Amino acid sequence: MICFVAAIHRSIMVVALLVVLCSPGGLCSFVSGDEAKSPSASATETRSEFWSFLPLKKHEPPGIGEPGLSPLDCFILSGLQQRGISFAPETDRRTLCRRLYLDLIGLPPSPQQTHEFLSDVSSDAIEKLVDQLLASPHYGERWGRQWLDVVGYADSNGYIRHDSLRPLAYNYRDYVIQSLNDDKPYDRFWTEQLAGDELVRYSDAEQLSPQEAQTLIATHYLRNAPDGTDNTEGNETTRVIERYAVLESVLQTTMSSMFGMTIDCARCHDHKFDPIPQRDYYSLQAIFYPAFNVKKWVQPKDRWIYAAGQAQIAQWRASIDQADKDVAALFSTHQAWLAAHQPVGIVRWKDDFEAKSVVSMWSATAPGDTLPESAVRTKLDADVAPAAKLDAGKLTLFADGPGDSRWLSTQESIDWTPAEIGQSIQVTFDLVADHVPGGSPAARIGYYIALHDREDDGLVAGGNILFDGNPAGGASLNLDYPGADSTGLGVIGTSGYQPGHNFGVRITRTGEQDYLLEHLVDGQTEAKTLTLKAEQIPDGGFGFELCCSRSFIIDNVVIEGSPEDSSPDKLNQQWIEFRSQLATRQQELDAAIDAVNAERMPEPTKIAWATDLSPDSPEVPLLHRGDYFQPGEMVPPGVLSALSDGEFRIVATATSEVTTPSLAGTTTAPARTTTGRRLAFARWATQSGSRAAALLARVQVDRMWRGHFGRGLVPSPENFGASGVTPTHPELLEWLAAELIDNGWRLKHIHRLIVLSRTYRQSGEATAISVEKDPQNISYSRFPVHRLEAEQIRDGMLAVAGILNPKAGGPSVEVVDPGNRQVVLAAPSGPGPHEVDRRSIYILLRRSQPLTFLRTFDQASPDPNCVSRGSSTVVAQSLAMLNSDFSQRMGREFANRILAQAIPATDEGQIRYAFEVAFAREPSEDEMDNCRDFLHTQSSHRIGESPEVAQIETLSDLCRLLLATNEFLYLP
Amino acid sequence: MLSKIQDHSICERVLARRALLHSGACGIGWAGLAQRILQGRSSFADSRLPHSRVPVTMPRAKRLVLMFQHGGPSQMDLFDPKPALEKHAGQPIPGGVEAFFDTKDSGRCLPSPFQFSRHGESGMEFSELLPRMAGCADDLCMVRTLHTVVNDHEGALRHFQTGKPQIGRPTIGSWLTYALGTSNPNLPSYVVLSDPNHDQVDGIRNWSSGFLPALYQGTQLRSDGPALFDLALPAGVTDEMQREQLSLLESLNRRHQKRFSHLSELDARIANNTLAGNIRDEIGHALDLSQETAETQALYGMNNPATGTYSRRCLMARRLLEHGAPVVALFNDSILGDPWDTHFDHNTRIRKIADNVDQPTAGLIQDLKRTGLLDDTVVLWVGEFGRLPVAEGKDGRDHNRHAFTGLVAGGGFKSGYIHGKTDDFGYKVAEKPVSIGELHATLLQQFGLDHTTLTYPHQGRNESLTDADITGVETIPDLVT
Repeated sequence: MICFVAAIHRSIMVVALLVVLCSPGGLCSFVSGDEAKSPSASATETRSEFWSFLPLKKHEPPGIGEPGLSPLDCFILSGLQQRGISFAPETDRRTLCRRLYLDLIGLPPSPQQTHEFLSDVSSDAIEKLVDQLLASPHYGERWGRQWLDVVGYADSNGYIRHDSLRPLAYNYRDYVIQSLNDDKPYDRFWTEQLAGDELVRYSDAEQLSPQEAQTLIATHYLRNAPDGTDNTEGNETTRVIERYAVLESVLQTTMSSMFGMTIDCARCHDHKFDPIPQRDYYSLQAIFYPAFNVKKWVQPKDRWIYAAGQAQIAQWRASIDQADKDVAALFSTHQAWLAAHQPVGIVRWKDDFEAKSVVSMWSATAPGDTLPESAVRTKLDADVAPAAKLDAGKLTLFADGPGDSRWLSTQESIDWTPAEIGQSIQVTFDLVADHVPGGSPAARIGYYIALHDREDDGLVAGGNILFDGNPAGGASLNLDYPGADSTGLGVIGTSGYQPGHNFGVRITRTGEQDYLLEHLVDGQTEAKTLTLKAEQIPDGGFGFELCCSRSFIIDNVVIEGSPEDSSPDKLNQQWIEFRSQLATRQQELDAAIDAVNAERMPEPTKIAWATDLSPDSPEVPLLHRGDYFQPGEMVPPGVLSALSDGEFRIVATATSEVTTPSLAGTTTAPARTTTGRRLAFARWATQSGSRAAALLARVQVDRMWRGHFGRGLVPSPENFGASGVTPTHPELLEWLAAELIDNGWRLKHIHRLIVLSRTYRQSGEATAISVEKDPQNISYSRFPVHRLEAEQIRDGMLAVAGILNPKAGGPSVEVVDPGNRQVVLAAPSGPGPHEVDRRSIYILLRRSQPLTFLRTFDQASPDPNCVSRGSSTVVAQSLAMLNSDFSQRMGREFANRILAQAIPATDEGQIRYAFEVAFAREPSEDEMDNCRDFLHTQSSHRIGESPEVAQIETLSDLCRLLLATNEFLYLP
Repeated sequence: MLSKIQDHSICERVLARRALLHSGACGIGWAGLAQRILQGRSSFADSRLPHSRVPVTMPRAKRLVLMFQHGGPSQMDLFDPKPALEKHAGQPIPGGVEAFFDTKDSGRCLPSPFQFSRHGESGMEFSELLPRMAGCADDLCMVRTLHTVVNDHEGALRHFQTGKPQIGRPTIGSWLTYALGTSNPNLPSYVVLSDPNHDQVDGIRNWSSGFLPALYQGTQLRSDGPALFDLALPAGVTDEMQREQLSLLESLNRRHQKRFSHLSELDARIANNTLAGNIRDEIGHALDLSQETAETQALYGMNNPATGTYSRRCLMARRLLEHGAPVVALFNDSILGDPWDTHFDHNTRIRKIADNVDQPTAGLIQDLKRTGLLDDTVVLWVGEFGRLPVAEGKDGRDHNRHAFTGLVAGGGFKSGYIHGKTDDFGYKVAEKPVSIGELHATLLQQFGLDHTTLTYPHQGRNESLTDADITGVETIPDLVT
């Protein structure tokens, strides 16, 4: 959209247009099928000789002549010696232990773990600890977070007004964590993410192994980009723009995460600084275009498959078809019985929501309504607010912002005024839940009777009676709602609208003109009633209100009237007999249905993935000045000419590679399902010895270095190009990149090289001379002590408090916005472990609702991706550490842990233990004195409290302060 | 200034390039940084650098109040009378219009039912919907010929706020605080006052610092309850107890800092802890509306329920400006959703929104005037686009990016002046167009800033609000005195 808009802007402004300098042949050759060509000569001509575009040159480490130094250290020491200084002393073993734990697994060591390391006197104790930590499942939880930033992972679609959830995205998050824990070779990791669908035969494979399912899940990488097209409003032009925006984000994320390059500007014109012609941009776009073909678009919600082979899917389908048939037969028998036995007029209308669609019985309009075309109304069978959807036999109502009053109404118009005095009609429903997953509890449960017309401008007076069911108690009534003429009628009932109960209203004719309204809760009428007149209750629908983010889930809407014959005895007798028979029948029916359902195979789990939308190779146009509506010449798929050093070969088959031996040779060549472009791209990018692989490796080792030291060897991680900043240690970068490739692209090898180095094991304390000679620590004359990342801080607090729930994987933990824009985790109750106390990587990352605590500490914003986080120091961080509910709870839990575990249970013993847990060290004498004085003075302020309470509260305050110290917030 | 950034790369790349060679430039505490930013016009000044923020002309303005009108107010129902619509009522406009929604039965001229009259000595026209703002006619510069580049809310919002519709660029307020600094280090320099109950369209991007350091992002102060999150002390902790707690925290931090005296960011963090203890009072004082007389509260309409939370927030804006916050961004109450976005039931809805906005807006302008602040404060009242002269459906108005009206008061902008002319229907600009970029350039000029030199290096380019290298944007001398 940027350049599309810029183009329009320019034409309006009539300013000088940028000259589009398309170098002819500035693109490496495109080879399809068996046809092969040699690379074009011009590709070589445009290739830059800039350092980052060159093949790797593995430098020999400088000969230093100091024993015990790794090659890595030699590169660093050489730089230090040029400044006339050397390494800082090695840090003490306690600090090193804490540094390694926080850095490799993102959690501080427990006193026990620290003790184990310190008591291991063997010469390879450090190596053993590093191996142990790299083998821990927590390793992937720490380093997977960095990867998820880089690829822009989120649990929602973006497009801020809707930002609908991506309920299956977590599978990709778990895939990333598992891949890192498995030390999956980096080239393979990328190939799976770019083209997992082209590695696994899905469309006609009988079976799907777990490993193959993982490979398909990997393609969710391509789905990480913000994609609002589930929620598109507006015209065709808008839709084209939004689809291109997704495609462009995929490309931007790919180029920045693989190659550290920002190529966005090449969309409109040749790159000003790097050798990226505009043509290259569209050649790259053509790689991804088949999966994001703007002319054959598939919305995010429809991009999924079953995680199962075709045989299993067929078996499952057969099983549910059979069960559906059996259930339908049971229902039909039951319906026939009902028809024969039901007293006339009892059930006027009902919906138990077992149907497949809302459309058959409900409507977004009211029976007497004429909604304008443009009004935003409730979408039926949709889950993007405002919407109503059936799920698992329940009705879910998704409400969005305030908006206008929107509703879901029965199509049928009901007569709400019984003909005879003494007769009644009632409507009831089960309130299943007062919120939808990920949402906040509804402030009110709104429903209508006598729903006539939305605009409230019809000839019928009265009606549109809104019942605002209050969780605190009762329902307030508004007549003629909405609109200026709406009038409040008062409140009926007393019970609160809490989930798990049946609510409703009964209308009984009590006089010529009088109709009594009684609140029904679980079938019982309540005190506080109202009496209305006939003209206030015209015929109309029953409906639910969708307003003000009040989403909820309901079941079993039933409208019942008393029989035509109003004789009390007869009425009672009919009801009693019918209900008793019905109860027995219902039990039998339920048992029969349960028996049928027990035979249903469970639905295979789903995978959200990406694949080419069609196997045809679509032609992709260069867009003149980036304008989507000014297509230029067609551009074949290709790669960055500056990085190409050979042919770019696309093998246009469906699944070019078979991943598991079990599948090899089992079938003949499958039908072609993809264009092969992405797989070819992945192969090109990872081909050993190539320029592309060299840059791929450089970017990744720099990223890992950044993770360990808080800053990279390349100061501009978003830009490895000519306008970026030169590496501080170019030869070391080359050497590490070569190490990565030479060691089978194994990332843990690089971690080991780094954390076992003398460079890493330095103390973070600086001597006067090192500050003087190396003020910014550019040369690593000391360990760069740096603030922990948001997740390390929160996870560390949970660990120290002793309540971290180590549960791995699965759906993300829901967050709540209690209504003040602060996004938090619900306070848990009862004994743990609690879902809300899981590691931060498992907390729902909705783009519009990031957890406030994490965002305050610079959690990345997936907009669309983030190759390097900032590290700010803002007052909101101090406030969060000092005052937030979370910090208070951590302080209390930490205090509880100390009270339970500290020996001796004296002030000194407790303070000593608190320091060991929080900082893996003993307090100094003055710290001990300060803390002891603190406990004493603070508890004396708590005069209104019992000594026991005052002691716990004061200790909790101390614990909270320890967690707020810089020592706790920094990697030591 | 409440915060500072410690991103090493930013430090090295930006501050170092600014030749800010004071040792530990990246690690000075918030107060020190604020101090330097205060002195920024001399200490950051380096005319050799392309990204200097030196004032180039005598500043006419020191403060900005952005009164942003979300959704796109309808110019021909408020500011720009179009009698031709009466004549052509029910007829399509020759050549048709660019609509955002493909709504059937749209496109026929929809005359405004609201009466226009002339106001003040200038005789500026306002419709009956804005009687109180009309009373400010002689203080206003009415720009009838604004136009923008896209027709969707988010894109147009970003274009207005950041100069381009794309995501990730700094908003006007960020550029201004980057250039101006603040005079009260205990208050945020770029304050956002939005509807406490609802998010506006495009959310927090409306005050993002984009690629500028996060130091320059807008700080959302809530207008009900605590102004910042986690301001309230934990239950059972008194002020005195907190002072002791902060004192213990500082003693622990100072001991830790001895080992890392070269890391001056630790200083900043220690200072922030102290600020966390003080800011509650400071913000509380700045936002304490009970110090205002009943007459002043009434001036803003705080006793008029139609003004919702907007009246309260407009009065908060004046107090914050007085206490030294240089940029305040006000956003509408959410009324029936995105307030001015009247796609249907236009005539009813626009009245409700006008009733909400009219009195607080006029109140703020009058109050700034009588306190003398208006001379060097720019008040900018504008939406992301306008609305079409034709009906959408039977009774709505769709987006119009080709022409819309904005109002400016104070800060050296002309007063009692109407700029430009739209065509007979109010669909497109006829004379003296003003692009958003030109408005930006002119605005910066009033702050003594040159939009071509107020730049920031980002991804190898010196980025600016107007991107004049590409857009060729210039200031509009006609708008100012």
